[in-house]
Amino acid sequence: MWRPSIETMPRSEITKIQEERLRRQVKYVYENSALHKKKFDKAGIKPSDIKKLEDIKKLPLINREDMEREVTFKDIFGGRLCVPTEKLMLVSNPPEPQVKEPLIMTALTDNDRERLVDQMTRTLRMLGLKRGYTLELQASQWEIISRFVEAHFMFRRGVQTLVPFTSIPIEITLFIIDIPRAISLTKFFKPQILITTVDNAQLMQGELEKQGESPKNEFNPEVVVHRIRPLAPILTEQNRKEFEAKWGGKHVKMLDLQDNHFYATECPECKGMHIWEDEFIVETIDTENGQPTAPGEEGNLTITNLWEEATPLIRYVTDKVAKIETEKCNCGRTHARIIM
Amino acid sequence: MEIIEETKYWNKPLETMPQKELQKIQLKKLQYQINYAYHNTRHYKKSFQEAGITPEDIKTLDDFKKVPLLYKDDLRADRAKTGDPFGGILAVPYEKIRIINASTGTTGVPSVFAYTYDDQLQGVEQEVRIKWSRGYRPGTKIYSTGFRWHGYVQLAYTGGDVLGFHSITETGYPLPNLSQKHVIAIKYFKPEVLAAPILTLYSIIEAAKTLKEDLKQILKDTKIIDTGYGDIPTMAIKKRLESETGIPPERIFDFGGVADPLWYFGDCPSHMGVHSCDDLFLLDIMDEETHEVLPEGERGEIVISNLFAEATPIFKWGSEDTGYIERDVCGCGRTHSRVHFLGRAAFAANIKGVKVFPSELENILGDIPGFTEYFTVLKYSKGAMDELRMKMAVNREKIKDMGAFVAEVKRRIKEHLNADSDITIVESVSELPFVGHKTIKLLDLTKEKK
Repeated sequence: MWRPSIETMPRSEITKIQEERLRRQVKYVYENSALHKKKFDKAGIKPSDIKKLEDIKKLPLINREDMEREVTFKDIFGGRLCVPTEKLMLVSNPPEPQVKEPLIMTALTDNDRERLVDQMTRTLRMLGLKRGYTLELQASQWEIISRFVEAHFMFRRGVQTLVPFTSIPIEITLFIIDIPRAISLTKFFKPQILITTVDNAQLMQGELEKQGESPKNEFNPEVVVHRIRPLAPILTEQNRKEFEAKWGGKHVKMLDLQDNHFYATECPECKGMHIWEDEFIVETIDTENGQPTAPGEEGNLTITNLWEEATPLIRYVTDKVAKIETEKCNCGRTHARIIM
Repeated sequence: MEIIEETKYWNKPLETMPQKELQKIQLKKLQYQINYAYHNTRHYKKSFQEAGITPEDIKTLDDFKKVPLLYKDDLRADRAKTGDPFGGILAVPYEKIRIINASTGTTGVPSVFAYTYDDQLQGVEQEVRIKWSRGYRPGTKIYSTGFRWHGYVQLAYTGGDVLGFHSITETGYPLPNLSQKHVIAIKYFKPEVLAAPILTLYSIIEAAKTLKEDLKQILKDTKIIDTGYGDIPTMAIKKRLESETGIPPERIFDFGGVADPLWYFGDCPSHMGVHSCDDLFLLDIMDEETHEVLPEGERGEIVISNLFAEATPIFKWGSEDTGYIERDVCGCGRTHSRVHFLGRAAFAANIKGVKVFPSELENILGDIPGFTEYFTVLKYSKGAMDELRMKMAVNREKIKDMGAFVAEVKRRIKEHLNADSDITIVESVSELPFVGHKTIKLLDLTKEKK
């Protein structure tokens, strides 16, 4: 583990940290973000009303439409920018294959990047990354700004400065060219960790089988991460069984929600995607009545960002439906997991 | 984005150093690199022994002529034989590699290069010098679609990291729906710099028309277009971009690189060829047939030697591109080599023994009103030809007198290339031969007759 004291923290301590950081973040966004101030005022909530973790229920929910209403030609961040633009290091719009108007941008400051790098290092260590390992990262062109890449390649203070490893970035956009290219690189370097998607992995496997070879012999990965992204299938238990038989190694999935700089990844135990609860509060919401669902029940994932300076969102409702498991995982980590 | 005299250079002592001093640095670094490569790689040990030389034989820059050339195919052949993905030029333990970079191999077998952390730093230094020379400063707003994932990704971020640009980095494929996204984002973001490959720019122009947006209005705050990325932005292309975006040719810049030796280049506001960093690279021009080193200013194949690479040292890398080099002081005061690219030798017409490149014609004729990049040079006999035969489509609205237009084209070709020409004006672009959506710039008639 990269941060054992945080990752195995008892529930009572997680709650304590979340409470403290929620109070601070709510005050911060109320003072700095036009969108949050408007929403809070409309609901009649002051930052001083938030004392306990349960008080999060009093805060208004935010969804994409709320931000769309705020977007003007002067404000491309939908009213959520909390810092002067000089402090922004990178501006991007959450990558989607289709055009959605208006575009809403997200941004990162220098400090944000450091936090993201720390989270990403925990995740990669969880997947088994060690000094001297090779990691292959596949992504299509429009995902060039995915959270994963941001933390990974940030030049001076990327994950690589903390854990030296060899990285192979490959773009998969034009299948005719890129799949054979990915195959030949994976054969050459046999990366221990391969980050891909279900459809790309299936294409690679099909191409290899056509030539009478098998991924198990040619690639032999330790861990394969299947990213969940728009327009691509999600790794099912059926998929996982098939892949593990044909590829060997562990097959895990990763949820990467671009809007709030949130991501969660399964550990090799494959029992739900780990959230870093000291950085995020994740709830499940019933969108019918806007109330949280009972513990362990399905609902729309609602994410509160506790760490970002640039464009944080409090209680952002996403379109992903899932359950949350708070039991301690077999890997020893105490933070909650998303079951999807 | 005015360039102030006092802060004109990113690295003033090096960028304005006289050529003589630079050559001293080059020799020192070269001797070190050759010694390093000889003792740490399989390929260079073998190739030096075959050529009958040792690192100690390189005492002057002139001795460097003895070092054998290296081509992509040499590495491919070695890889097929030994199974070593790097073709025997990797000089560091595998653990020291930070990024493995693969070119877009259309055959499915890409060529593979590796960079260490220190290699990346030198790549950044080159990028930063080029961008600084154009007036990029901390706080400059950039909208960038030019960076391809495998090659430029680390540099795309470092620009912001080292210099503090505010950049939106987006994907660069010229697909219609992605380009519409670019148009919307540019409209909101109002960037000072628009960075995109030529084809993506064309695609953005089309997308703006589809969305019924006035691109000139959207780009009214934009001072610079940063383009190139592998294709040469010739005068004809710049003129076309000007007519669509309102940005004049002197503010359209060329940026590019050869990923294998980690070489980057770009032009400054003087537009006198693209600058290379002489303290980091040694460039030669070589005759394509005899492999003899040619004097400054003559045309031949550009040969690149890297003076810093830790992971995969590269000497005498045959780029397969034709061009010429100038080493006099540039208008901007920089003393380093300037390269003029002409294109691939296979796509040149041989007029009385002189190779004429389509990109050259675009540069010579580009600013004649009515000239477009839609033309085809005909290769009608094998070997040298007596005159230049061209078919071209023109923008008739801009031409008052067709006779005068043709005369001007002929006069310029005679003046620059010392060749007679036979110009045929076709009625529309569709009469020219096409591949995909690009005109064939050189049509080989001798092949068709068979």
